[in-house]
Amino acid sequence: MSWIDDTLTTLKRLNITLVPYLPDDTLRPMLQAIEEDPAFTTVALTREEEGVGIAAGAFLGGRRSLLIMQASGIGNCYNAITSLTMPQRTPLLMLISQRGELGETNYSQTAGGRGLRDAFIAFGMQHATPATANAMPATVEGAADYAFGARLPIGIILTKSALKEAR
Amino acid sequence: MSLSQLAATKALTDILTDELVIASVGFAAFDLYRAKDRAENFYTWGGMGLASSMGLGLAMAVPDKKVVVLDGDGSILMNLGSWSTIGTVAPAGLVHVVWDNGMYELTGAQPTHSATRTDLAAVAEACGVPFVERAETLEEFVATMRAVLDREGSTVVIVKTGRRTEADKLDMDSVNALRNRYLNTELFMEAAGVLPLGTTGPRPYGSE
Repeated sequence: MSWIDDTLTTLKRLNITLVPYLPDDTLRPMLQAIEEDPAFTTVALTREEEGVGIAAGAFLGGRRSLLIMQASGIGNCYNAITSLTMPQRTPLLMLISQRGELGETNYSQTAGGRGLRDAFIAFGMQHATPATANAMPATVEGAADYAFGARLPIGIILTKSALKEAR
Repeated sequence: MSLSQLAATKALTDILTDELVIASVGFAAFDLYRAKDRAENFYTWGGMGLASSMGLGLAMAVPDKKVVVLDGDGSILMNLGSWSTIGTVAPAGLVHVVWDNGMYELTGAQPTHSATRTDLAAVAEACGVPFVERAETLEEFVATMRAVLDREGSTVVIVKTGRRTEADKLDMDSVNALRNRYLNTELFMEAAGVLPLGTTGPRPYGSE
């Protein structure tokens, strides 16, 4: 898909080459494209907060990361982000697939999905939701500047409807 | 007499040259600071359990350098999954030292599960970490670290330590000094050789 190619091109241009992730069905095509592109190194995680530590350590060594997970996984990261990432001012760029919105049929995903943005605000974290996946390259660029320039955590939230709208 | 973590940390800093060191929150960081403050030390103050993951990320970013993580048994027990990931990724330069005193000493010496049934070295081995070493005396530890720092391959070193003596207990002067020192990300990154930062590398805060 074109938005995936364009997003990967943007990531490479911004020198974001390390991708710690937990697998996710919604983001599977993008994860697969990243796996197949030798410019990227992926790290399969056992739990999402591991990725917060990996991204922090990689930054200290001058390498930029994109942490990929689904909305349920961010719940495993709040302490890591607020007590490690934020005090030491290491950047954190995350791509989170939204669950629990309209069309969700799994009850266990609804509360975490519904509270996702409120939790980000409560913890002082920035988030951005592109209206369509076609806007992903521009969103990644802006979010990367925010994360790596201001050295703060930010989550790009990708919804199912944004994917439906994409070419 | 059981091994003192502070004494072992001092012995380690005596043989370190340009290795990058990440110290876990709490006594691992306090002892490293008391043993020898160096630009190549990164002291964490939060994110308990994540030092091993930070070491993994750092080792993947600077594959030509040795990265030593100083951790505690309570911390690694929070993030045993990181050994599973390290076993798979296995960066050649990563050396993960775990001070295993079988207790959460900072909060009042409550026992950890490594004091009873959990064999941390066996866990690391079962996770596929290429090299797993054990040390119980200062001599064993120093000899092990000399060999490990000379060798390529992800390594976990489990060091059995004892409850600290009065002299090794928390030194508030160090804690207060470290409060300022730990935030100095730039100093560490300069020592790691990643500064000055390019336009597509991580940029220092406020540089634009």
